[in-house]
Amino acid sequence: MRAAGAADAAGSREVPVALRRLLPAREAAGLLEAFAPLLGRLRVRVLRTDGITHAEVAGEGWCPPGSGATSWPLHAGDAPVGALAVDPGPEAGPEGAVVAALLAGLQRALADAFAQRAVAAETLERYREIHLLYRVGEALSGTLDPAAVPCRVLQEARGVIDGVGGGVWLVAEANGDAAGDAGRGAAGDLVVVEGAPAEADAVREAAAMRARLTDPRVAAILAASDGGAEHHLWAPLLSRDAWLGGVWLTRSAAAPVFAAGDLKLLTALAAQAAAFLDNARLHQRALAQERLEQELRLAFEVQARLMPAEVPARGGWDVAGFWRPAREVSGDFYDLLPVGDGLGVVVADVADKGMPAALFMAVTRSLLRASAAIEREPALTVANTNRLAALDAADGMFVTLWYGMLDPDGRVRYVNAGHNPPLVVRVDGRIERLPRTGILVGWDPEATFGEAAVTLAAGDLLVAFTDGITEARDPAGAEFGEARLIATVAEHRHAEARVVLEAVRQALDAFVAAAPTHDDCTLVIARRLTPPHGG
Amino acid sequence: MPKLLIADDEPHIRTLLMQTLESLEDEGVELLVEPDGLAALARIRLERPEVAFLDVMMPRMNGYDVCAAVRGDPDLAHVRVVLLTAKGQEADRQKGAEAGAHLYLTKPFDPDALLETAEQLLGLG
Repeated sequence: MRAAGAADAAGSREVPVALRRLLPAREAAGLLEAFAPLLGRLRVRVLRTDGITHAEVAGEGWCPPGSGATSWPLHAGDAPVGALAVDPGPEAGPEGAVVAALLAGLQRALADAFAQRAVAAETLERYREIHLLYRVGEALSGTLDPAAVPCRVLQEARGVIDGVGGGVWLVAEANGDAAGDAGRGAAGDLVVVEGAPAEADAVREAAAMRARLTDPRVAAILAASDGGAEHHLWAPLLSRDAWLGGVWLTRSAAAPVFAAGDLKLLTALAAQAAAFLDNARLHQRALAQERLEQELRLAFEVQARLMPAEVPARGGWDVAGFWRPAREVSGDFYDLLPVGDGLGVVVADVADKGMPAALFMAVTRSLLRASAAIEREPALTVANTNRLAALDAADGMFVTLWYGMLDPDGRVRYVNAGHNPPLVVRVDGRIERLPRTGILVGWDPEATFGEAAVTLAAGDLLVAFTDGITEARDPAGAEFGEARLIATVAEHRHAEARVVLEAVRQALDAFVAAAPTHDDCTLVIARRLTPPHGG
Repeated sequence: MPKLLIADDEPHIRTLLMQTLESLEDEGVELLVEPDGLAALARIRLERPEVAFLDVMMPRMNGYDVCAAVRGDPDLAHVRVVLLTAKGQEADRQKGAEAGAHLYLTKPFDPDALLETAEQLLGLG
């Protein structure tokens, strides 16, 4: 139904047009009548291809029956549509000139009508295209599933371009697009090319895409779908300059070749499909991103719960801690562990960020807690933690940590495993640093860790932190630095630990202002209290 | 012989409609064409076609009025009227329905759907 109107007038398939559609009988008769005064002894007839008279007129001198007719074929495009018969056969001279003029007039009228039909056919083809695209658009407008789009397009293309097989070649997304499997199941002939962003430029051109038909996967489908197709039509799926794949249609060798209009239609359909496919994929990505963000939010909540909710009750110390991840999750942590009558303080920094660091942080925290529960000496606790962590650590995954045991008598026995030195701010303002006593945790399972000690008097402060504090940058790129940390702590050194902590936090926030945060921040302040009975 | 009338004041639209429906002639349907509403109504009264495709915006008499006049004539109760217009708003459809139109198609029309509609209304195929 569709192909007849579209292709015959354009002449592309050489289907003759009925004479009456180019030159209705009334119009043909009118044209002949105009020549009647000049016809004399002649009778002229316009005949259809089946020989039936379409229109006729005779001169006043014509005398039936005629003495035999001479005829000239009438054409529209390359196809014969009828003939002009003149009887008796005209003689050269005025009679011949009249017949030649009539023949020329008829041919011109046919050519005009033929051209007009071609324009109308082209317009109707555009109408069909508009409605097809509208219909596909309507069907796909609610489709956010990338798998459904190629199948739908293939169905629609088959519906309007007669008697064809076909398939969709879909370049899988680098992150693994589920469209392929679902699509293959639905249409049975959807080919998904895995990967291939690198190939995209090479196969963008139609000629190169056609060469792809030799791909064994495509060849197998062609053989199964139409027993060895010969005519192929390709249109690329292009959206925002991204090559998403291609749609092909096939016909057997015995069927007519595809027309130019078929390619236009398929190209328009493919362009629309590509836009929908792109949208559907963007939607899927947005969903995945949203899911990821939600998981990260949950991870943050889980991780935040790993931080001490309260300070274990131990005499002689006033302790406060602060932890802030740079992203949703953090590689920093601090911990406060009751060990005998002492208080174990951990400040640690995994040498990475994001989810891998957060997982390693959780492992290290658990190992350290487990080790501290069975071993009271900080050096042995850290050595045990290190041995187990090193066995589990992935390449390049390690942690710096400071672990100090705050004894009731004011002594602090500590291990500094590659961590930036904590500070002791004496009540009189003097500063001491607690140097490293071993290497990073998780690096070498056989590593041993030294233990050092420092004694704090009443009013002295211990300040343990991660480098996220001292290396925090202001909008101009300057670092907060140890000097600012010391100055802030020293200024508030007579206040409670939580007040000192809050002062540092405020100073840090004011310094960083609107600059982006690049590292996690952790800070623990421990203030030695005045013992009830001296000491 | 069943008859189908086409009325549109735009010559190229008439050509498109004729070319879309010309295959009906092979099934014995006579196609009639008129360039305005008044001529269309006169031809409908004269020829009593089974189906009339009427453009809504026509000079001398618009499609709604032609349709209403056809519906108001008991002798023309058999005529199925299809209104054709570029407007697709619901209000236009409502107006078409009130005038007694059987169907309301928008332009640019879908050639396949138009032919199918004509065949159905003529009881063909």
